[in-house]
Amino acid sequence: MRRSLVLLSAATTTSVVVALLLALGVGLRERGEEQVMVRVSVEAQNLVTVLGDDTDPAGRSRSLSASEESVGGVQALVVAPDDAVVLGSAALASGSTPSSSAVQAARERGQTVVLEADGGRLLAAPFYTGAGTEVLQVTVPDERLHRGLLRAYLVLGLLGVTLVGLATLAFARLGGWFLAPVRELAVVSRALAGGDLDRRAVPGGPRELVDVAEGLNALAERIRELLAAERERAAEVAHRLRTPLTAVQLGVEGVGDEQERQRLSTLLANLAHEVDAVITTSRDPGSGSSRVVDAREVVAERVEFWTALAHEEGRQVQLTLPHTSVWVPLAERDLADVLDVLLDNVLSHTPEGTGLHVALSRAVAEDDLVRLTVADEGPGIPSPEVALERGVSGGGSTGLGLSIVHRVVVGAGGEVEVGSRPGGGAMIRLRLPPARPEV
Amino acid sequence: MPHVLLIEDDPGIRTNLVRALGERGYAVSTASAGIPGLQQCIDERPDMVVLDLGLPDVDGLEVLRMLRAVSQTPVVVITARDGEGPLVQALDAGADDYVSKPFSSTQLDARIRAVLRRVATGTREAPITVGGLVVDRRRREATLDGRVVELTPKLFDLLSLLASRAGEVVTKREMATEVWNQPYGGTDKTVDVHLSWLRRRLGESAGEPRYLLTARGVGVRLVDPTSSD
Repeated sequence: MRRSLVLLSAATTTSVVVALLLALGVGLRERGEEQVMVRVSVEAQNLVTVLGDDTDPAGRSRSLSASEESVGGVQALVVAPDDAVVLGSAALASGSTPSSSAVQAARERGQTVVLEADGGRLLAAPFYTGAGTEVLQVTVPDERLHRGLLRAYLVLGLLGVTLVGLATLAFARLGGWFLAPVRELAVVSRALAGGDLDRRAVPGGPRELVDVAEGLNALAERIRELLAAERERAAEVAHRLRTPLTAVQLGVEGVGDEQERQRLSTLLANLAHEVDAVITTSRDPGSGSSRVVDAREVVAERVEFWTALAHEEGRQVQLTLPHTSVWVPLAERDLADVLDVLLDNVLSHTPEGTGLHVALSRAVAEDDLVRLTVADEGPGIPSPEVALERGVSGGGSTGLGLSIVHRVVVGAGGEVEVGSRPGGGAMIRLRLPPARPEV
Repeated sequence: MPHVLLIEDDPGIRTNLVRALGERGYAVSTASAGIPGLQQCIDERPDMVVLDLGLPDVDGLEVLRMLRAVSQTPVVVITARDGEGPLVQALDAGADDYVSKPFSSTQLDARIRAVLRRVATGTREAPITVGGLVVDRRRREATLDGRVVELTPKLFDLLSLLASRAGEVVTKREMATEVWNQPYGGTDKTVDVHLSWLRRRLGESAGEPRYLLTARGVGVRLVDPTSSD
């Protein structure tokens, strides 16, 4: 934009300056010619007065030469009534010839005439001597008419270039003053669109842009308020759900069939968990915009939590983490839930003393996915279906079975693989797409 | 047979609680709003009031304050709110204990029994003391030999449950129901891992227990290690 603004200004200024300079150039040329001709005609008037009175040929010749020199660059000659050239040998020598039309016109009109001629102008001034009407003819060549004009043109050209340069520079500066706030607005708009509702534009530049910046800030504030109100409403609705949920839970307790009661209780526990999740996500100011977490940190924290029990049960816990952060597109709470389920499963379904391994690795070139593996040294599992089954129904009775792991991981664009560890034992491997780190 | 007055506007909860508490040996009367509830409390003089904080006519906290102005009847409040703020408010306004929605009748029954027990032994207001361990439910703070024990909300709830029934074996099923409000399938380790941390926080281990004695395969018992029994 700044480039186009500068180009536009350069084009505009150039056309204006060129038009101005053309007019100025033409005017300058005409004015120059006029000045030269005034000078020539004044000198000619003086000269004819002298020539009319002087009869001495030598004296007349001197007067003529002096006049020629005084004006400079012109050739003068005098034509007698019989059309013979009586004075101006120098003029004749340098190629000047008497113009019969000019001489004729001067004689007939009895006054000075100026005619355009090839390569210049002719001035013919009649004067009376004893012998009759003689005519002084002065040839003013173009070169004399336009002397000094080239320099004037050069000066004008230079002036034009300077003007265009200055205007372009001014526009570049002005563009910066204009565009810096526009850029700021663009950056802030993008940040807001990206969910960073805390970003605000610093108003700057012309009044109108200050207005736009203030408008954008007000808009961001409004969006945040609306979003907060909307979240609050969602949380409120979820809260209200807890009352009927309680009624249902109390009702389920009255179900006679033990197995059916257990089944309904598990379903209800899942429902309650979802309602809690809605409230937490709505209330947690960070989770709305940032569903990105450093898996390395969460894995380390959850493994440490479960290690307390693992050590009590005589289990070796082997944790392999990369040296730097590994960002994945999950809310911290969701990833923590996933790890809790996986670690709980290992501890619940293997004998005490069984070692467990947790490994996190950053995205590998093969498929560009982050890998999180939870494996144990237990007896292993006959088939993945059984593992899934045990996570869903039997052991995962906190209501957070492998179904939740599956939902969370697949929801984030990843996949869950249930299998066996090379040395025996169960292994659950999650593959997650990498996320861009939070700034 | 203890007489419980249930002040709750939701008919579903009311009906089910009347049945469930009735089955557990309580005589239950009900009120569906705050003002009639207050009136009934004065007229019927129940042994216990179970009060929902979200009532259609008057805010539950207000009902609680009005109730406290005229009566010392023990109150267990029911709240749908999260966080400790509303709970502390309710406890400050004179509630003896609380349950959060959704809850089971087992949970509510346990709370009612614990409160009635404290009322009977005259230790209603005091924090629970077990040896050097003091659990102050009102301030949600536990101290061990005078030093504050750093606990997460779940660990505090767990310790609070064990302390309220000090000397009794509390089963994992009870802990899962009371603290997590989750059915317990008998194999998952959420309760165990929290017990493990609770031991760490109390400066002991499963191998060398002091306060937390494991009743293998059953549950855990919080005891006073300084007492002889």
